[in-house]
Amino acid sequence: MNVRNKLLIAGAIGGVGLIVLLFAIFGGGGIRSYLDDNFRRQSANGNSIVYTATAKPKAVYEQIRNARPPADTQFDPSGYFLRYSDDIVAITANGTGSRIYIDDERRGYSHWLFFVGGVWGTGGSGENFRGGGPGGGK
Amino acid sequence: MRTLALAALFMFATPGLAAADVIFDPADADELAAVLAEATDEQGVCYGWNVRVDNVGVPEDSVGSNSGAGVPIDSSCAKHVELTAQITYTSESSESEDSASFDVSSSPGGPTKADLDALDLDWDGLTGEDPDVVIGKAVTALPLLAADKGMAKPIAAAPETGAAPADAQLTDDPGSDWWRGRGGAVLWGVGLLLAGGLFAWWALKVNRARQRPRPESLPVYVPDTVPEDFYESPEDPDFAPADKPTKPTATEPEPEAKKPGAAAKPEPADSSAAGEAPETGGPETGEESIAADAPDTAVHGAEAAVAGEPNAGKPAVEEPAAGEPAAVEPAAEEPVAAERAAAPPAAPPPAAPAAGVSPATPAAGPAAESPATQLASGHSGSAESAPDQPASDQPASDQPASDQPASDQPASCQSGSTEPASNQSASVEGAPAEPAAGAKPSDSPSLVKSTKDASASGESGDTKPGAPFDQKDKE
Repeated sequence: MNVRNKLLIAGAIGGVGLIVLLFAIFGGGGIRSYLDDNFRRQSANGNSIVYTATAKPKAVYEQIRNARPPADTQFDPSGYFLRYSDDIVAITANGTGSRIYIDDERRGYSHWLFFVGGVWGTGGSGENFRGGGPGGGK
Repeated sequence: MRTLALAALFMFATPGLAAADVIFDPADADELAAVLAEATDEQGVCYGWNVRVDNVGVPEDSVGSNSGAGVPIDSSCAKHVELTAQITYTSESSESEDSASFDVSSSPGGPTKADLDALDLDWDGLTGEDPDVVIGKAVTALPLLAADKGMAKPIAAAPETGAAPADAQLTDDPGSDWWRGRGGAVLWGVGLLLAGGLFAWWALKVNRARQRPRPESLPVYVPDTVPEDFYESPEDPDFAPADKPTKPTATEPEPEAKKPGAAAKPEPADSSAAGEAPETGGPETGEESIAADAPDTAVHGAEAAVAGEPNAGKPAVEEPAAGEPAAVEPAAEEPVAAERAAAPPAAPPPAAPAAGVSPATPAAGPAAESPATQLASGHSGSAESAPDQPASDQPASDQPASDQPASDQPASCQSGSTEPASNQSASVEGAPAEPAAGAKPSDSPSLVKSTKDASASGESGDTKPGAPFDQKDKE
């Protein structure tokens, strides 16, 4: 293999890396842009926006989670809750489909305090499951 | 808030129901049971959990259902979904690691383990410090899974529209969404860029290292002539003829044999060629007349006959006659080449007497009398004599004017069958006569060596460089 081929390989590797890097930096957007692009907006009130989807809540949850990984998730018999750095997303049932709520973190926390309160912050009733199991693990 | 209030009331109203639990705190277990009870009320499906903890050989269970903490799931429920898990803690001294497994048991059409896996819970946390967090999330998600599977109707949550309590504030830091979602891609991109850059740098470095000339590779050729100080003095009793370094040279392939003739010290080679004609013309007038008749054929024929191969283009035997120490250097090989040329005829009788007189005669004689050798010599002369005898290499002082054009006419070498051979024999014969006549044999290490070889082989020649090799080849 001569030096020309080596340089071509190095250029190809570097080119792929550059493409991946540019795509990571400039490709896609946040959770809000993703919801805007993929779901139908139903209503909006400031930073609180409601979207609808025809898929069931579980499918919508998996879609959003795979596209924009949340920092944390909480479950309740009535919905899925996803925590992002600046937003809180709730996915609930809406007939045969789903309804998707997105709020900024302060408003979202107050909206869904009953479900996530005590887990992601203070107040509310969600003080459960804070750890403290048997503790016998290595 | 309604659930919170109900749960709080449930907890305070029936504190005794929160039995000791290996996974959950009593309050957490009761609250979890309350959540399941609410779901059961809306969906008509019984939910529960059953976790077996093997704490270093001590089994403990965490059981609960919509009926309450510590209460197993009601077997009378037509539809039920239960989370079962097994957590095994091993002792610190054990080599086995902690392990955990989980499953979902439900009535037909209900959720399965795969459905629970799809939620992407951190199941590794079962063996961590907070297994209750994982189990609590999984149990809470059972009604969601039942609704997703069509086992029960979904429960729709609605946001609170009222004002949040004053103490309700987010406390934990979720981290950066950008880094969480694209950090891996950024790392991959940077890694690939660095890898490509490093690979290119390495390729260029290796290429430069290859292009850099190596000091040891400076000599373009390996001189086949051994430096003078390499040889031992003639007085050295340990000098053995068998140690002659010319033997490997004689056995070298032709391409390598070309090197000394073509590149090794052209001045001495040409000086030998230049001195060829004067030598041949000097002592023996008959040879001189032949050379005068065909000067070019004399030169080429001498080369061809002596060498029989391209490497022998320089009549080395004549170099001592020129009295130039440098010219003697090729002499160590040229007799070998001549020997190789003369070997096929197997020393014809006419050459034998000449060999006793002149060291070059054995080489030249067969060449002169053997047609095969002549053809070979003529061919080699045409192929190599011209490049081996550049006119510029010949010293002006020693070189007759008639010799230079001779080396530039290979056609005459090819055409000259017998004459060049005879010329060669004449010229070669004339050459050794000079050392015998007083040329300085000690000036030439190779000549001295060949002299010793000749003496060792029992031949008379003081000046017979080719005799030892002939003996060896014949052997």
